[in-house]
Amino acid sequence: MNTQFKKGVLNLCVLTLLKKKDAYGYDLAEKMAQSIEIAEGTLYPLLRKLKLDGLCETYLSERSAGPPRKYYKLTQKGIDAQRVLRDEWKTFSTNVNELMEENDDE
Amino acid sequence: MNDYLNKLEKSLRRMSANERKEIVADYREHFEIGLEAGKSIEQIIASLGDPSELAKMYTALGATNRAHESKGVKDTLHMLGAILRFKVGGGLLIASLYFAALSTMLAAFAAAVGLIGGGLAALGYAVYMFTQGYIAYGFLGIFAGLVLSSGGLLGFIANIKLWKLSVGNLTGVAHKIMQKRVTNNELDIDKG
Repeated sequence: MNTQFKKGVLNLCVLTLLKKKDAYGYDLAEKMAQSIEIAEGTLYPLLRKLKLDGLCETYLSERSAGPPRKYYKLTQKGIDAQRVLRDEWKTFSTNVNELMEENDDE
Repeated sequence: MNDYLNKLEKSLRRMSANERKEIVADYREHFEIGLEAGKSIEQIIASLGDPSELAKMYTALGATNRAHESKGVKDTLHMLGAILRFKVGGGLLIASLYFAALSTMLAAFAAAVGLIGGGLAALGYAVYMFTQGYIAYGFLGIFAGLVLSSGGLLGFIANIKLWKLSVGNLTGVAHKIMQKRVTNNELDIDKG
């Protein structure tokens, strides 16, 4: 898949996954890798940046077996950012699709 | 797994010990969960990607945030180094502007210090003239000394404000560029 396409939607995808529910890094990495084929390791710098920018927070969740896991949770700022990106994406993708349908005869 | 984490930690040497620990812990957790889920070490390593590429990202990101927080010259120089090293767009322009602002400000500070020094010298001259009985020269010296040193002091204070405006804002601009470009555009996110 085109790398430039992926780069544009990374933040939107992560924010959307986190908006649905809090998640730990591995879980997010797996989901992201499935849908847009990224190297899973690159998700962690992205999550760190979201945290530094105040879009998400982290907390440790204890488990009955094994070490606690680090969960990511969207802040209000993160929810707002997701909404803005989502709307931009919807407009953008609709326009691109229309252009394709009108002009690509295949 | 430990090879991978060691390589990552080594490549993160420019980050603070705390940040390094946090980052390595994130990847350790990733390995542990992957192993629990039945994956092999090799599979996990392959899906994570090259640790030195990951470290570049963190280094650039970390340098930027430190510079943004402190706005200190040393941290900002680190950040500019990172911007240039990872060929972030606009890096060269920002670096040149920063150095231009830095050298102009240093010259302005030197001028202000020179004025203060001149003023102090004039005051010394006045004291000498008074002791020699040249009252008129003494007053002239006091006048010149007060004008020069107060001018220098005002200049110095203005320079501090200018410094914050120019050097501080450039740091902010560089920070924004880094934030926008590094994670989204310059990072090699593709599977190796």
